[in-house]
Amino acid sequence: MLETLTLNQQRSKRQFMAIPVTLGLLFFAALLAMVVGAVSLSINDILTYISHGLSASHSSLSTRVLFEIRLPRTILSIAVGAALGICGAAMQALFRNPLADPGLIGVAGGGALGAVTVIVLGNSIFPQTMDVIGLYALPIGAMIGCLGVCSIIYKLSNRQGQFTIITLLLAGIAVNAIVGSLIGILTLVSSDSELRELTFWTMGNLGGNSWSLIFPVLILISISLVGLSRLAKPLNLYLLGEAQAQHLGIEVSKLKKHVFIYTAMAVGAAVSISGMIGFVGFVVPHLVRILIGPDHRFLFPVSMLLGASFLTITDVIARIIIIPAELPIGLVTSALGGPFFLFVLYKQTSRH
Amino acid sequence: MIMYRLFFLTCIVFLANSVTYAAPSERIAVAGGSITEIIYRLGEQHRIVGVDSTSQFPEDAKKFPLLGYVRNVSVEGVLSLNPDLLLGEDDTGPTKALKQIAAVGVKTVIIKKDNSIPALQEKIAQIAGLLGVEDKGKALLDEIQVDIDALSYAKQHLSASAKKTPPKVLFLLTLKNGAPIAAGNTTSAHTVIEEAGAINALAQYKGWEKLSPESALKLDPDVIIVMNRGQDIFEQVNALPHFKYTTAVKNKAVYTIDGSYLLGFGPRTPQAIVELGTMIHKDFPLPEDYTFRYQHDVASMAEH
Repeated sequence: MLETLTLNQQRSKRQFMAIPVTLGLLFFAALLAMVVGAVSLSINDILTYISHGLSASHSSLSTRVLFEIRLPRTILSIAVGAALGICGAAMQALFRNPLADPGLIGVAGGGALGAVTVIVLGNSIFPQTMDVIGLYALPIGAMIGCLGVCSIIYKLSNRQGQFTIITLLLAGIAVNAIVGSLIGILTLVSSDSELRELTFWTMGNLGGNSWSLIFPVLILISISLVGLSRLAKPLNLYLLGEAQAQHLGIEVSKLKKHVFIYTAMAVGAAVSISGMIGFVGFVVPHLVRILIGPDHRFLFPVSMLLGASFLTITDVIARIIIIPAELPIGLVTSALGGPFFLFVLYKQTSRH
Repeated sequence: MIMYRLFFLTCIVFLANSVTYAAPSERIAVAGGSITEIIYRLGEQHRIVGVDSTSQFPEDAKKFPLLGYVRNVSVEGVLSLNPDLLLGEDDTGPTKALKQIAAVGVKTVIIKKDNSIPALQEKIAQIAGLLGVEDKGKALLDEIQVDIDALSYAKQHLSASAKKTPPKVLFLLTLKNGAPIAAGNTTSAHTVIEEAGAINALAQYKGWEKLSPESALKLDPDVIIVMNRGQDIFEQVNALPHFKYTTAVKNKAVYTIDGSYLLGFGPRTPQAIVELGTMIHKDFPLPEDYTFRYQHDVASMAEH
């Protein structure tokens, strides 16, 4: 009993500290992301630009780099990282299983299918449309893929008003397998250059996105971040079990549907613009749960902040490690996150 | 009077502007092996500030800062080299990165890719124009014209039987893992085979195709060309069930040639096509004064 109490005390202390600490980390990461890059800009430069940046015309190379390349990229990495972090936590709550990640509901697979379709078939099937929408073609294709696959899985698991987790899981696995084979077929018929393009897409990249590209993504992500944050309390009760939550006045199937929809929206938006960035959504909530426990009122914001900081820092590493070239970020998240996570796991298990 | 002065001033401003616009680029970031090679051949390599990873020839080009793979260049990476021109081949990308680079004010020129000899000539002229060395470009064009003339001479003087039933050539990208990948139509290999006065055994398929043993046997090529540097290429081909019983293996008509030399569509490619012709045809008539001018991997000429 006493042990549990001290554990609780420790936890609550950590819980309250975690938000300011991760917020500070995020601030530091964002600053780093603005300062560090292939083109050298000093903090002084940045402060001057920001102080009279918005009024002055963006003419010099360094202002342009700052406002048109680095700033949108940093904001995107924060948004995508936040989305992956919180959606991972939400999925693990939805499945009541720490092994869950957003891939299970078909977001990643659907996005990949959409993107691969656009890359391989886009120019041959609807060339006019490709010309008109231009840069938006790939994100739109990926988004349609996400929505399509997610809605199939949603339909399959939502028969007769029941939204059962086991059907969701099974439908997700089956549909993902089908999507995988479709991607395989498209890969087979792709030309050499298309194959290379889609390989790079699946490794993820945050670079090259202008304001006009990231703006819709930001809107979608913010809507679902707000939506998910409001579900923290009901999800806490849901962890007790579906029946128990029902008795405590939670509309369980509505809750599950909301988690599903918000996650699909946020991760779909993230995937559509940045490609596949694995591991963040899986490992960040885990880490946070190890540190501060499973209370979603804290787990959600801290996962969000930590995901954002983690992705921002890995993006900085991805873009400076082989200057003037750049690594795909998906490689860096796994290469850095994996060993670190193993280390934390090892620490955890050795304590018991 | 004031009006007159103003007019005069405007003229000067315009003139100055046009001069700066026409000024040839001095700091060039290159994405595309053949472009790098052409710039070297024009003798303007001192203007290069960075190259992509496909720029493997000449050896010297590898010392420049590397922009990464041609399809995956980084915006800030390119900008950090402070180039005034980004010169890339058709597959330079991703497109959104190129847009950003251009938006920041770096002149970005993407050369249309069309693997053919006229396109190569056009490419050389365009690059020479961008660099402001039209005369050097002209000299280089004259140089490769020798090979182009030799090719048309050879095609005219080929034996009647070779003209009537040109040899069927199968071009293999790799033999690795026992899964040969062969060139169909729309590939650069298809173009060079046709230029060398032969027909592509896999012409009915598009792009690079992985061959199954049965379909390879059915193609029954007269000549097999492998893009590889392996010494015992005949043994490797003979070891595959795909080719064991083909005419090419029976006649030991299996050759290897360097990929960037033949398929890079740089200044050496016309000569490489002539060389390919000598491999494919037993008798490839060349003008009397014709010599091979560029040395490459001599081992690849080894016959079995």
